[in-house]
Amino acid sequence: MRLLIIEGNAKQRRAQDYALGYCCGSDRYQKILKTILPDAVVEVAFPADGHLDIQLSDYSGVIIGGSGLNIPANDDCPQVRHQIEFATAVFENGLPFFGSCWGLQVAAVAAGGQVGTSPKGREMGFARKISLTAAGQASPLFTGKSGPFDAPAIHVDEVTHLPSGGVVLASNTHSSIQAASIRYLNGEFWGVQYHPEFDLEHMANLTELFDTMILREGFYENDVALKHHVQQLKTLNKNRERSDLAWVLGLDQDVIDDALREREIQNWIDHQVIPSLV
Amino acid sequence: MNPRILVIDGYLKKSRDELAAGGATMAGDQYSAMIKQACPDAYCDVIFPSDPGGGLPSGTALSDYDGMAWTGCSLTVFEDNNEVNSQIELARAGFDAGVPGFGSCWAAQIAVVAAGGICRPNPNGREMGIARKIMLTPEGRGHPMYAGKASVFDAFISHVDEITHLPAGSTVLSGNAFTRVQSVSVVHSKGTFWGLQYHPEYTLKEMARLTWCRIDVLQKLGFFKDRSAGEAYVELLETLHNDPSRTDLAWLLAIDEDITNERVRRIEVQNWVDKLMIPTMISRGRMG
Repeated sequence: MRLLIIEGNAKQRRAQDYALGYCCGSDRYQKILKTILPDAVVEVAFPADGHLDIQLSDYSGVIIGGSGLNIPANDDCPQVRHQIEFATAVFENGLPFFGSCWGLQVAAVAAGGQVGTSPKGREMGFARKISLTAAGQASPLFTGKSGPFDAPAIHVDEVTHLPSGGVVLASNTHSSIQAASIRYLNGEFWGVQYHPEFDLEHMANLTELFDTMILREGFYENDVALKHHVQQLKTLNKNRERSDLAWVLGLDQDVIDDALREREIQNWIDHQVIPSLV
Repeated sequence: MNPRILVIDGYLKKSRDELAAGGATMAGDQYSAMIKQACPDAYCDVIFPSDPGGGLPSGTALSDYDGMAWTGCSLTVFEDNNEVNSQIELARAGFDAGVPGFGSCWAAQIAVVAAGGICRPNPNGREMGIARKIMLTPEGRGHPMYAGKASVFDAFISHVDEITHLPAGSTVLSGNAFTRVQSVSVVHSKGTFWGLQYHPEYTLKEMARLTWCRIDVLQKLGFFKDRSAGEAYVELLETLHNDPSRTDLAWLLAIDEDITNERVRRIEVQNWVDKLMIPTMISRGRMG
């Protein structure tokens, strides 16, 4: 089995991540897929670097992860346009198709929906109290995740209008579309606005990478508070038994436990990718 | 006629003194203030049924009251002793007199036990600070107590026991992953009681003081690595209480409007006044 991961960030941003010893969003997906599907061949493509010429029929599924790019006011920018064109091709091909954050936004726009800047500003760190709609409760994407849950999140854009084949699967008070399925052309996309692929350390790394912006937006009183929180997240990630830290920060197993947090990815593989192989 | 509310503060005198010494406001006073906020015309009589002679004020009967509002309490409802049994009896008398009941934590448990249900230690241990992701059941979503409330919300909490078996006539209105019954409507004998496992009467300051009083216990239970971590947490809560513009702290502690917006936090109380207490006054011919 071959799976394709789309890295949403361009070369320059990836270089920033690696220079600090961090990994990219696509690296997180690679790591998770290696655990779920040890025998699968997983490849990564970079449409933000230029037009992709890929034989989609070689793959059993496509995942688009996060990106620091923004669709609003940028849909003509080649880094964005190449990704929307690629998503359209995936829909056309009918491959199992999953996405998180930017991935959901790109798929929604490719299928005729719209993305805007959230009037509530950035949802940072963890999306809280996400609850499933009736369609979400019935969707296999959320098998094993019935109640309200929290999830890692960092975004300022959100899907504002789903295309006609779209169904809202989950929402919270920040974003009414926290998860959706989108039928378009020959395909069906499942996506979430949050990041099931991020562990606490990755969230801590992003907080450090974007520290200036996050400080400016008022999430921390000062740089000391930011560094302290980053350290708490890293400590908790390494020491999952530190229930005291989890409790103070209001973090439950839905965020801390890898298998539970990544459940949507596992469910997509079980219910979309595997059945398509038969 | 002005509504007359019996506020029942079941704490033992020793526990009340301990909390007062730690800077917490007495539960009965917190409750009276909350009821008066929702119903400015109400008169509240606070009683302490765990004290000797702590029953109804002399010359009054339960039927003189338009509502019974019960605070939390550090007693254990399934222990057999005079302080517990007398409160179970009082709750039964309230049901028989048809006086609308409302209350937090221990109060929900007392109402359930008085009506024939069961409470036990929560196998998940102590739920402390903020009960996360409480979700209304379909019955809760349609219940008048939750008109205007979000379907998923957080709330102040501090308990180790939980409702495990409901009596006939009771309905679970909400629950979360930690505690299956976070609120309940108990309809029994001639009365109706709306009970919450959580505490709308608390403020960040009261939660801070309660936490401060319990730091050593909470540390033993693993909520704090050491005493100074507990003290730092209490300070964060108090800083946020004193300066609500500190949205950075609220975000860090995962505290949102469910907790910090008093109107949102106490919608259940306002709805109890407007949709159960006052309508019952009218039907009992007590609106004058």
